[in-house]
Amino acid sequence: MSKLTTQPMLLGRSLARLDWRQYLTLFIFLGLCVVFHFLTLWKLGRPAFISQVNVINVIRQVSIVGIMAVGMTYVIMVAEIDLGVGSLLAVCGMIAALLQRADAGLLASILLPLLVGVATGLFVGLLVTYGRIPSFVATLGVLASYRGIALLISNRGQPVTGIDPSFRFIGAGVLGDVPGLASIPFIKVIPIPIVIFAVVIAVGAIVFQRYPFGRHVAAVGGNATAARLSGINVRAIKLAVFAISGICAAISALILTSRLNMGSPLSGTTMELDVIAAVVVGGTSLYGGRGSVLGSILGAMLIGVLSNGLNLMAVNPHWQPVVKGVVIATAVLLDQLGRRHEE
Amino acid sequence: MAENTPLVEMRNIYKSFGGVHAVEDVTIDLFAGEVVGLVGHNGAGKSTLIKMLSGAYTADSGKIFIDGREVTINNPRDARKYGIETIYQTLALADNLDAPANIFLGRELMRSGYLLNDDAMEAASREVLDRLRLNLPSVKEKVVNLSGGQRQAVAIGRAIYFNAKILIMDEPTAALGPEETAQVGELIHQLKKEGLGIFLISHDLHDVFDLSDRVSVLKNGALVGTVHTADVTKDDVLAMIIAGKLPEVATTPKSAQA
Ligand SMILES: Nc1ncnc2c1ncn2[C@@H]1O[C@H](COP(=O)(O)OP(=O)(O)O)[C@@H](O)[C@H]1O
Ligand SMILES: [Mg+2]
Repeated sequence: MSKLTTQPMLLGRSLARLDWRQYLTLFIFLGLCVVFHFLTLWKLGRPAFISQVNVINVIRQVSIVGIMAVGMTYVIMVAEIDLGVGSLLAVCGMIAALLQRADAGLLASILLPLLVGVATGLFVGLLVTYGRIPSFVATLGVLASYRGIALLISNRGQPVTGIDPSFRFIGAGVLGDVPGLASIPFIKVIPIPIVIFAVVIAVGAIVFQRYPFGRHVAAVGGNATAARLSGINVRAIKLAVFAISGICAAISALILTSRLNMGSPLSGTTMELDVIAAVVVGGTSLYGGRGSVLGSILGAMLIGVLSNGLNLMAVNPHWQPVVKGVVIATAVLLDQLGRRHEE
Repeated sequence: MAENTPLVEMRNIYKSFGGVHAVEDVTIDLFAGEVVGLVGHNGAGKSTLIKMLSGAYTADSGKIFIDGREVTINNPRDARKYGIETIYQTLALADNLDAPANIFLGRELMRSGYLLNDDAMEAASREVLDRLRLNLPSVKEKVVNLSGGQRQAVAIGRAIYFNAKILIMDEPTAALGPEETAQVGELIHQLKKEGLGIFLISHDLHDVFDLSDRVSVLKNGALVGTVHTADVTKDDVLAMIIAGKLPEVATTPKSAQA
């Protein structure tokens, strides 16, 4: 079978795999888009919401949380949680910025934060599997201690500047900066964070659905004992999901640091909640075993569109957390109702 | 294989959990085409004993022989390597996955080396479930939505697809109604005819007596004895279970006679 025919089939199967919760999210997402489109049109007199600039803007904003939501989906699928991603993002961002200021070069500034992300994930995984510490507690430890580390390696809490222009490509570049793509209409304006986001989604979703690893993750979340008795190394799966979450946080850290042109020890504060919210709104069950990467992306986009729309409408920003809270509570309620219905 | 070489022999097996001696110096065996019932009260050590054969636990001491050769079974993978498959009363299936995903869990069929081949797994599952005369409306249904008998058939399907030689069934009918229990009984007859050796475990003698060629009785972690069901009555075996008393005609494990 040629690549050309497999790709649409993959998409078809992915859509077929979404359950009613995700269709509901998709429906609400599209509904919000329509509502915001007409509201902004009416209020501002121009299509401020569905415009090329704004669509690209929203996706770019969502990419930071969305990438982490891909990793978090794996973690929540096995009925664990990772509360450390926001603080880990700050530490990885600080390391990247400090390396940049020390002229350590582009490669080191990218690889070392990624390494720290993976190592942190593996460490958490070890605490959870061999240490038998609930992931809620283990990653709460990361949340607190990594924030401290980020502040300690900063200069009295001040952001770290002095980033080389070459590093800015990651967060602020567009495809048009790539030699050979500069003249292609549309393509040239796509920001690099969106490209990275797309790659992470593609890899995350394909591994989730088409690789044995993804199936084993689902099995561990559905019934860890059955998975173990089937010869699946449950500990290895859990180590892996935390490592994946760690590397996703590091990727987001690189984008954010590059985009802000500095490393801030306070970046990513409470971001773990946004990430978990995206995953839960996307239909992944906090009890494990049911969910999908694409659902989480949908969840992240829904929350992103909500923030963006409220911003464009110049709604008092203090309303935003309230609205977000209602959306998340509704998603968890639907999950509960669905579970009761299935039992 | 020599006539008197057992398919499985577990010899002088010990296992404790903390201070609890769950299994103490137990020796049992099983021949091809034979069903051996493993009975005893709840907590007698049946599951613990059998989990050392299926690789869920490792023995504190004792030896396991397959076809007369000593083997080491450290995990379920090792057990499968020797053709040992286990069907558990509960906890056996991932409810959130469909029948093919469960049948092939841990040893998925692949395409181009590293991608799941869902189509092939679906087709093979249909075939094996047909052989068990299980008609599912759709094999893509999550097993959480199947009946107890259907779930048990999926579990058995998983075992026979991979050409199990030795089948362990731990309370296979405990969660089933009478009709479904009869179905599983038929399945056991069929598998036996195909030459499999089956350990059938139950705390209720009535579930296994008629299906078994021999029964081994456990009490408080120790083996009371092993008898041919043709030589004894149900009451004899009940006395073994309750009082730990061996009837006159009791036999030792077959292999120990030779
Ligand atoms: N994982 C375990 N940890 C501690 N004790 C156990 C464990 N598994 C079994 N036991 C104990 O070992 C004994 C035998 O249990 P089990 O093998 O489950 O009995 P049966 O299957 O015959 O009902 C019981 O006293 C039980 O409490
Ligand atoms: Mg038992």
